[in-house]
This record gives sequence, structure tokens and C-alpha cells, in this order.
Amino acid sequence: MTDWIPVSTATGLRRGGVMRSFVCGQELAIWHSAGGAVHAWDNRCPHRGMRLSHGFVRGEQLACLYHGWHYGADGACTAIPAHPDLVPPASICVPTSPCIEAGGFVWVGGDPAHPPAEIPRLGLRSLHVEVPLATLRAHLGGTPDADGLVPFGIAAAALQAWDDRTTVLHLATPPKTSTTDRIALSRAAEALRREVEEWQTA
Amino acid sequence: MADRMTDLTALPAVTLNDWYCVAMEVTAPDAFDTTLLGATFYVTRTADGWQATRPDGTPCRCQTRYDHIWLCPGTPDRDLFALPEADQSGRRPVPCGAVRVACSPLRAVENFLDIAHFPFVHTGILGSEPHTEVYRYEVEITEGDAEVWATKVRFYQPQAAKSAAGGIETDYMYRVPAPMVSVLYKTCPPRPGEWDVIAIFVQPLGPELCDVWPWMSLFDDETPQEALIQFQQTIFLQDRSILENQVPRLLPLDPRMEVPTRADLTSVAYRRWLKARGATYGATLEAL
Amino acid sequence: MATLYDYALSGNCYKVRLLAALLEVPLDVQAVDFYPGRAHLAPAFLALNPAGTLPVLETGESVLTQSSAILGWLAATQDPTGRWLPTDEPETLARVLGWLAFADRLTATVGEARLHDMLRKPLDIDAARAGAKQVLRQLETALAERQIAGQSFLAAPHPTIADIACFPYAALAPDGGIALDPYPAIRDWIFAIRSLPGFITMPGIHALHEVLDQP
Ligand SMILES: N[C@@H](CCC(=O)N[C@@H](CS)C(=O)NCC(=O)O)C(=O)O
Ligand code: FES
Ligand SMILES: [Fe+2]
Repeated sequence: MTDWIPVSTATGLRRGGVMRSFVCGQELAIWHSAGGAVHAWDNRCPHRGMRLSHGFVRGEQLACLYHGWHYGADGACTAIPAHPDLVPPASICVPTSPCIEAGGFVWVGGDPAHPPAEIPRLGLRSLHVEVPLATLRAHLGGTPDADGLVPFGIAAAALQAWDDRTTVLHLATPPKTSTTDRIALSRAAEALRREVEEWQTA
Repeated sequence: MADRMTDLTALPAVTLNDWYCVAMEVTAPDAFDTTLLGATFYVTRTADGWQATRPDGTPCRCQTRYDHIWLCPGTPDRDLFALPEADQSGRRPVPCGAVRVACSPLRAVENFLDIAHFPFVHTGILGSEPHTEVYRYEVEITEGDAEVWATKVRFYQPQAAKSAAGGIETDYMYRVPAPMVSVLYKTCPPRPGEWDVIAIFVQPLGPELCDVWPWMSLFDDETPQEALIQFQQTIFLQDRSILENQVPRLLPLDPRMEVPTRADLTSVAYRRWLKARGATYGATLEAL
Repeated sequence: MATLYDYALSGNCYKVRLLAALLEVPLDVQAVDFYPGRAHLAPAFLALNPAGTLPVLETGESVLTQSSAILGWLAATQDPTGRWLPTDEPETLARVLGWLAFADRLTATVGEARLHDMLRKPLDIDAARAGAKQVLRQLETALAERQIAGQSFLAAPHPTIADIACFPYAALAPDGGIALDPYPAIRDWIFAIRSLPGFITMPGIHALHEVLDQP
């Protein structure tokens, strides 16, 4: 069992995309560089507190939407557009967390020396289910593997606690699964969500 | 929020005894409830002008100025700020209604004082890359800690005003006459030598929620009023999505919490000025 | 040139401006003071559109109301490629028409929540948000299935007026206090639309800064 928390399927965050996520109650900006590296940063620009998840990716840098400050892969500020000639002091830096792509999912917060298993999978989709993680896990059944994944039909399901009442169900299938089967799995996941949310409110 | 009634007397005098914009004169109904500093006030039109009562039924002062109704929740200890340009002939007043924003009223004012965001938030209108540089400008706090002023502010703008034909270097002056009011003066394309005046009057509903009343006083005889209002609403609504995504929502007054640069001199002075006068409603003093 | 009676903050008016921009069709835009002036309910405007809704398009021959109808007219008359409203492909056409109807459900839920949060319109905000969740989940499901099938747009391998009709109020959901975090397929689709050549913004939908225009 590793401490990696899934935050997306590997295809769920396009290259050049940025999104918000929550890991252990902490708000993060997850971004995917043009070259394919994934990053997980505190979701707060050191300048004036703007959420970096609203920012934009330029190559291997993430820029803040408010004043366009750029940050490199290590979280250090690389450019301040209001002062084009200024070399930003090294003290301006966004706190980062370990983030990797493995086995068809994007993971945050574990020990980089012990990444999740590298099993080829194709991301299917991520669904927000409005029940606590324990409830969804119980409904899914199955025995979690070393990375916490449980089977969902032929797919692998990875669970992320978004907050106390919402869980994200990330699904990935074996690479050669047909489109028909993948759509059927997507619908099965919707059915599961309906069922477990109804069970929760009942 | 107003249901959990604030104890007004617990607020600092500097906050309680100030004037706040609560409505636009021409669209205000004859009687209405309005939320201010977490409490509900009742405002009515009478033969003698507008009158207001506090939640406990006691009367408080009202006045109309700059096309809006202003209310003092406590006992006024100063006049409403002066804006002599409002009475200058040839100008057109443009009140724009209110936009509700889930942010600290102080963050709304600070955003209004900032030019460095123009290329990224008001792209193609008030700024555009690569014209991102903020040149050196001057900031002062006027005598008796009365007001914050920034002068000699200059910025390249693709479409500075509805009346501007193309890109120009625009001159600005900024002014904070009260903690929840900000006024800017900018180059006026049809009338060189004069300044267009644009202001926001911020009504604090709570420490993290406000109604922002933009108001302009312009030299522009050509553009229809509707188009002027919508130009201003467009700009302000671009800011709204920023303001609702600043963390924390309260304005941090501890200088260690956020990192300013030279372009933020006005913001730094504004924060110091707020702290010095104890105007901390909507602010946080602690580090995260 | 057709005249658009417009309100800058209206998602429905933006649909018309956006499609016109993508088709490179100039419009004579007349601002109507929807807020604070409520000019859409004044006699002068009601004489033009008795329903008192924006947008309205005066084509020179007729006065068109309802954003979806106006999108249809623009596509039918101003798009020589026939791709935005594919009338010669009955299946695709039917899908497009389905999404035009769906777009009004976005207006009635997300759009209302936005008017409440932003311009203080009195309404049952919990009901608007609950409705918005249902509608956005349906859109997410549809787009996720399109993605699984290798497609980026709602009704065809290319954008159609279905995308234009549904895009604004989906993208503006955060203005109404509705986060888009639960909808990754909607997020990708919003990006695909923002990337279209000739795309224009409205407040709440920011310009694409990923690529620098200038060196
Ligand atoms: N289904 C119509 C709805 C148009 C609509 O609701 N427009 C709003 C502005 S976004 C309006 O004019 N509302 C007037 C009112 O509700 O009184 C369309 O798509 O054109
Ligand atoms: S808040 Fe991020 S650049 Fe200013
Ligand atoms: Fe702004």
C-alpha cells in the first residue's frame, strides 16, 4: 500500500491543462505541461492569492491568470510581466507536492521512490459521487490491490476523497477495450452513482 | 448572513461611522431593506428625502450624492468624501447598478487600484501582451492620513475607453478617499487635458460579500448611455471572476502573507493605511 | 447588416455574437440596458419584441427572437460550408436540434443562478443550483461518451450551433456559484471551443493566454 492519492485519469487532464483538486483536505492546482510532466501545487499564487487552477500553461511553466506571474517546474517564480527586466527573487516560490502519472492515473502525495504499479491502462472518465469515500468503497466491493485500486468490470477504479461528502471515482480500462465496451462501462458507472447516491439520501 | 444579526456596536467606530453606498437613486424603490455590515437596514423615501432605520428601529442618517443613496450606520464623524468633478459642467454621470461579488469589500477596492492585471484580465481592452510593464509611479498618503493617492501612472491600452479609437498610452491617477471607495482619473480621449472619472462604491454586506456600485463621470457626448454602462459592466465582470478566486477571501494585512512588487505600491499603501486607521472590517491580520 | 439588440452580460446574446464572429459576419450591435435600466421591459423594446427577451436580431426582412432561432438563421444564411447547421445529414440535424432545446434548460438553471448571484435577481437559488447539477451532469455524460468515441464536439466531428448554444451557460456556471470541478469532459470541450479560430470572449470567459499572439 502506497500513500499515493489518485486525482485524475491519465487522459482526464489534457496536455497544457490545469485543474483544481483536493488531497487530504488540501486544495491543489494540478497541471500537465506541454512536454507531458504532471505537477501538483498549492492552489494559491504567492503574489495576491489567486487560485493557480485558473491559470494557464505555457510550455513547462504555469502562469497565474491575475497578473501573469510565471512559475517553473520546481514552483519558483520565473517571470513577473509588470517588471520584464526583473529576475524574480528565489524566495517567490509555490509549494509543490510529488505528482506522477502511472498505471493510467495521475497520483499525488506519495513517495517518488515507490511509485504505483506501471500497468498499461487507458483513462475512461472521472465521476464525482456525492457520498463519503467509505460508502462508495463498500458499494464497489472487491479487494483493493497494493495501490488501492479495485476492479469495476474490466476497468480499474481509483477512489479519491474530494471532501467529507464527495468521492471521485476515476476509471481506466485495459488499453485495447472497444469503444462499445468503454461506453457501456461509463453507463454502468453512472448507474452505480445513481444507486449509491439514492441509497445515501434514503 | 443578515439573519445572524451583527451587533453593530461591536464594530470599530471608524467602520460604523463611515458612509456606505446602498442604492442607485433612479432605480431605488420607495422602500427597501438593505444589508450593510451584516445587519439589515430599512430605507424609505419621504417628503424630506431618504430616511433609514437600523435593525433595532432607531433612525440613522442618509444622503444622496453622486447619483446614489448613502447611509451611515452609526453617527457620522466626517462628511462624505468630496468629488468636485461630479459638478463640473460638460460631464455625463453614468451610474451602472450593482454587481454582487463573493469577496472582501477591501479586495474589491484593491483590485480597482491595480493596473498590472490589465493584459491578462481585460485582454484586448485595457491591456495586452507584450505591453505588460508597469512604469515607476508615485504614491502618497495625504495630510492627516486622509487619503491614498497614486499619481503619474502610465499604461499602454488597446482600447482605453468606449471613445478610444486605437491603442494609446493612458495616464492614470488613483485615489482612495474612504476604505470602501476608490476613484480613478484617466486620460480622456476626446478631451485632452481633462480626466475621465471612474469610481467604485463598495457596499459591504459582510466581511466576505459585497455589492459593487460602479459610477463614471465622463466627457463623452457621442456614445449612447447603454453602451457606456455595458463597457463598464464588461470590465467589472471580468474582475469578478478573479475576486471570487482569491485565497483567503479576507484581505491580508500581515505583509508576510502575500508578496508585492514595485507595481503594487498603491496596494501596499492602501493596506498600511487601512491598518493604521483600524479599518479592518473585511481584512485578516493573521498569517495563514 | 443585421442589427443585434444586445446585452453584454447575457449568455444568450453572446451566443449570437460568438457565432457571428466565428463566421466573420459583422453585426450592428445595439446595447439594451437590461440592467440596471430594465429597458427590455420598456415600451420601445416591447414594440420590437413583445416577449421582452434578449437577444433580438433585425435581419432587414424580419425580427428574430430566441437565441437558438437566431443561431439557426445565421448558420442557414451566412455559412456557405453548411457545417454549423448540417441540414443534409438528418441524424446530425436531429442531434443539433436536441441540443438547442437542451440549451434552454441550461439558461433556466445555470443562467438563473448566475442572475441571482451576480445581479441579485430574487429566486429560489437552491432549486436553481439543484437543477443546474442535473443538467450539467447530463452534458458531462454526453461529452464523456463523445470523448470515448474520439470526438470533441456535441453533435458532429466539427463544431455546430449545438456547441454554441450550450457553451455560454456551461462555461459561466462559476458566476452562479456552481463549480465546474466535477465535469472534466465539459472542461475539455470548453477549451476546444475557446480554441476555435475567431473565438471571442465575454466577461466570465477569459481569453486563451496559452499561446502568445505576439513574439
Ligand atoms: N430562450 C431565450 C431566452 C432569452 C432570455 O432569457 N434572455 C434574457 C437575457 S439573457 C432576457 O431577456 N430576460 C428577460 C426577462 O427574463 O425578463 C433565448 O435563448 O433567446
Ligand atoms: S495573484 Fe498571481 S500573479 Fe498576481
Ligand atoms: Fe480589473
